[in-house]
Amino acid sequence: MITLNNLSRIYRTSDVETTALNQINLTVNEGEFIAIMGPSGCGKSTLLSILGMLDSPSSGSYQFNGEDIADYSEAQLAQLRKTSIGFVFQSFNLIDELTVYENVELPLQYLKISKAARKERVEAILKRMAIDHRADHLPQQLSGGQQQRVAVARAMVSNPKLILADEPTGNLDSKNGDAVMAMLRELNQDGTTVIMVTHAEKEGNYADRLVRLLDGQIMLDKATQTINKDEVA
Amino acid sequence: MLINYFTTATRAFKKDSQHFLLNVFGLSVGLAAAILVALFTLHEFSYDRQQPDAERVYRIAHDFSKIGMGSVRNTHYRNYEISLKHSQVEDAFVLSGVGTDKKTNVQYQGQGYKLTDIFGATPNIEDFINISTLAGDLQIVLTTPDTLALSESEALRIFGKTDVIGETLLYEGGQHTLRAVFTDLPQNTHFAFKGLAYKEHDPANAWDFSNAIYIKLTAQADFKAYEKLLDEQAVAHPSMGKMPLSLVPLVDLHFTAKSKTEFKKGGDKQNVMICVGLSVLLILIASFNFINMTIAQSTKRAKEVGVRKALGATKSQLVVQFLSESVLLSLLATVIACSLVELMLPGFNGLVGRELTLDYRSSFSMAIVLMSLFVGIFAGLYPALFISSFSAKRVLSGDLQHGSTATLVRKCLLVLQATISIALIITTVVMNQQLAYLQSIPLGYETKQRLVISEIPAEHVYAKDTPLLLDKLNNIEGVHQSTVLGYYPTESPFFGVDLIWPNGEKSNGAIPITGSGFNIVEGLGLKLLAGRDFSAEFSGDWFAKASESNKGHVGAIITQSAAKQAGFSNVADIIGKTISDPNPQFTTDLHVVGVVADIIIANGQTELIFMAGYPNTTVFNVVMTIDVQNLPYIQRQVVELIGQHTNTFEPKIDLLVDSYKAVYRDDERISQIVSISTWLAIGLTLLGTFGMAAFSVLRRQKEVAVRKVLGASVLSIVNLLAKEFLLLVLLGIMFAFPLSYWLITDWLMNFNHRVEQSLWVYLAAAGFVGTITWLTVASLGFKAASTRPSLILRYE
Ligand SMILES: Nc1ncnc2c1ncn2[C@@H]1O[C@H](COP(=O)(O)OP(=O)(O)O)[C@@H](O)[C@H]1O
Ligand SMILES: [Mg+2]
Repeated sequence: MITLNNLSRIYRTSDVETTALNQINLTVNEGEFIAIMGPSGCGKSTLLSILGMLDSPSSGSYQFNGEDIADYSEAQLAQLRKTSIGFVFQSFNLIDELTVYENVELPLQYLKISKAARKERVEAILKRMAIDHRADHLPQQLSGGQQQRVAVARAMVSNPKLILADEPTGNLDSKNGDAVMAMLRELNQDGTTVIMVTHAEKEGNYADRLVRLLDGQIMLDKATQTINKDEVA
Repeated sequence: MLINYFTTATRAFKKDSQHFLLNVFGLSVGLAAAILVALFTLHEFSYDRQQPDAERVYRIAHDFSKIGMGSVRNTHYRNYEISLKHSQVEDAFVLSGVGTDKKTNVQYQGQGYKLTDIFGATPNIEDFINISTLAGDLQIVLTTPDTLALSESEALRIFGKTDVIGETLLYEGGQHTLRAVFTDLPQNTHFAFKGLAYKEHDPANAWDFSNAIYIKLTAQADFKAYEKLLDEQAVAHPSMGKMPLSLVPLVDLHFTAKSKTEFKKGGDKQNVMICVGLSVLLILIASFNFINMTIAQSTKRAKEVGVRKALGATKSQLVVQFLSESVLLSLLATVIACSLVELMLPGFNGLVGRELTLDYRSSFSMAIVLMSLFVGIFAGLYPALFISSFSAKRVLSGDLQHGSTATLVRKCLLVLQATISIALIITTVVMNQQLAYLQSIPLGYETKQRLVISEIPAEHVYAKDTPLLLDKLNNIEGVHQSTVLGYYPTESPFFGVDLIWPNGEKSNGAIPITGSGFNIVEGLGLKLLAGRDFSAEFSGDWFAKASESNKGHVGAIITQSAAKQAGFSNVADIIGKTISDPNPQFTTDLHVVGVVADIIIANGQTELIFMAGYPNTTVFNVVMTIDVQNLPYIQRQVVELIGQHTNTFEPKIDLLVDSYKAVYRDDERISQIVSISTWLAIGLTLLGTFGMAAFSVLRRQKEVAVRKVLGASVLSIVNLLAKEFLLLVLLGIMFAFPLSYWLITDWLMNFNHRVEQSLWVYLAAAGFVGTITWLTVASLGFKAASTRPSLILRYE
């Protein structure tokens, strides 16, 4: 599904150059559940946003569904993003001015889905996430766990093939964190590819595969079971 | 999706209502100013465009600058007949003064009225003026003696009704019969008659110059070539000789025709342009505020932008979203602006001396909407582009706290605003100084305690043996004395002659002359430099014909400049000498009896000759020296006496002080408009500074807290915050000084007498803007600096 080849991302600010990603090679197959781990500042978010086409690499290639997206126009990228990718963020990133319902509805509006169809899908997903009773609330009126469930609902509502989650449990207590993890697992079992950034080793275990980054480079890329053995050994 | 934009917009507005209100309010004020000025400008440029074939109609103008009158409309009737013979002329039209004679002082049911602005016209009036007859027939009036057409409001004034056909108005020795009523002329025409009458022209009368002649050229005619032809053939003035003729397009008359003989006071293109410029400035300042505040606040919308991008919005979609927000805001501001306009229109009308109305059914409202859209897009485009280009990655992964906020752009805008404010303050102050100066220039005559009765027929006030009326006027309690003058003191004499000075040299062009009564020096408060005042005790003073019938002699008082021109640098030496008016039809010897200090007449000329009893006009102004406390009583007595003795009604009586003020009313108006705009501009700029400062304080909250922990005083922190803004003001000062100097110098060129621009005005303006900027920032900074640091640091 995704192939990264010698991909680098360098940030240039007025005085310093930061190599956030350095010669990354990564292949992601459909249906995988990948956890990306590493210390703060190692480039996890950068990687995820490049995968999500919110940012573009400084060099190297990025193939999505076998096509190099380097020459895609902004409009084409936006099109690909709204049809294929869902995002979940650590700080939830719900639009404060919109209600729960409107937030979840937003991706469908960008997909130009009819109003009636939107209503059906949004209601279904809210029910599934057990927050339908909060549909008319504004994000600030919800607890962190509830907000993150709305964010997941919003990521899922357009039935994307890929979900990108950047520390989705970072702002949650362990109970709510577990619930979100369970949700992602469930999604993955339904066939959605999930790529998730996390700090917690425990959450890494939910994934099938673990990628460890350090200073913008991949240090380790293994199936989780193997890692566990390694660590035991 | 639009609904979704709308929801986000309204909720964002609600959440940040302070910022929102500042924005809307600022824009409303800017837009209201623009709407008012647009109304005014459209009105000013609409003059006489409604007349038939307006673009082909020209009016004859003569250059009277020989006697300091500039270009005037007055021309000889024969020029009309001459023009009709030319193939380039399709038609011509004459509007002739009927004089201020007996026929305009009428009685109806025992009550006396003065008919003002009555003109004779050729019967083809409807081919030149878009005039509609309400009742009767204009053609009859314009072809039949002793008939009259009145405007609707004039009919109402006299008869209390408009159904007046067949009614009569009595005058001394006859009566007018009302034969037509026409609707009042609209405001946007230079024509200003309130009545029309038949006028007989005697082709043999060489003095028949009280005509305005309008010429409609054929579509093919070349107006410049025709102007030249007509100039060659035009009739010369019997005393002033040939005066260059020109043709002035009808539609330009409102702005260009300025002489005292105009039907009404025209407009001033420079003033219109100043208004337009000011309103553009106000809109710019308001838009800059909008841009500034929107960008400053944009970090708050960054998350939304990021999320929308992540969900698949393209950049152009986001631009459209934020643009529609600013357009929405601008439309809202327009609605408020329209109500502001309704509120301010009466005041504004007083300010510009017009009666403008806002008609929402006209295409003007379309223009308002367009303007509003334009402002919305103009002000919103940069912020929209800026906001929508936020990096989604940085926002969403949570590391954007306060990113780049286009600081440079915002600082530039603030500098511009400071520049405009400072320049406007300087301009306002200098304008007011200039106007105060004009009011204080020694005029050479006294305006205080002087009451002028205008245009009294000569026979009642102008005779060697004090006429009865003048005697009675003098006897009114509170009147010290009175004298008679052949022109209105704040205007200029409408008469000049080529003279031969005592040394035999010809005068340098025509010298303005005026008839005057005895005691003119005392009556006008002139400053006598040599000789004496006119006096009844010297029988030679008053004008008299010599034994040969075409010669006359008269006593003369001349101004210092005239004496200088005559070659007498020691003015006393000209006393007793004779100046001569060598007109072959009638030669007059002027015996100089006095020299007075120069007096300022409207056209700036300083040579002037008073001649006692000289009949240069048929109506005279009586200048009375009075006790102003008795004014109402004196006025009543004057009206009564004049009605009794002269059969003239509703005489025009003014305090000379007021007339003098009126001369500069236009300049005063424009200075008021500039003052108001200045205050608005300053207010709006402060609004912008406030918005920016609020943002800057917020951004530097943590820094402030840390500094406080380290022991900085509140004042030092406030100054730290204000420094940024004061630097911008300083930059503004550097632009504002040369700009204002240049603009003001240009404006001052309009005046014969000008004030010097002084440095302190510039420094004070700069100091003022600097101080209020500091105060604005300090008011916010003080609060920030006084907050307990722990409160802020805990959240970081
Ligand atoms: N927009 C940016 N401009 C400059 N440097 C950036 C930018 N975004 C991230 N970086 C830098 O790139 C590196 C990787 O950042 P990031 O991917 O956010 O790390 P993390 O693994 O903590 O998510 C960090 O050193 C960060 O400071
Ligand atoms: Mg991160």
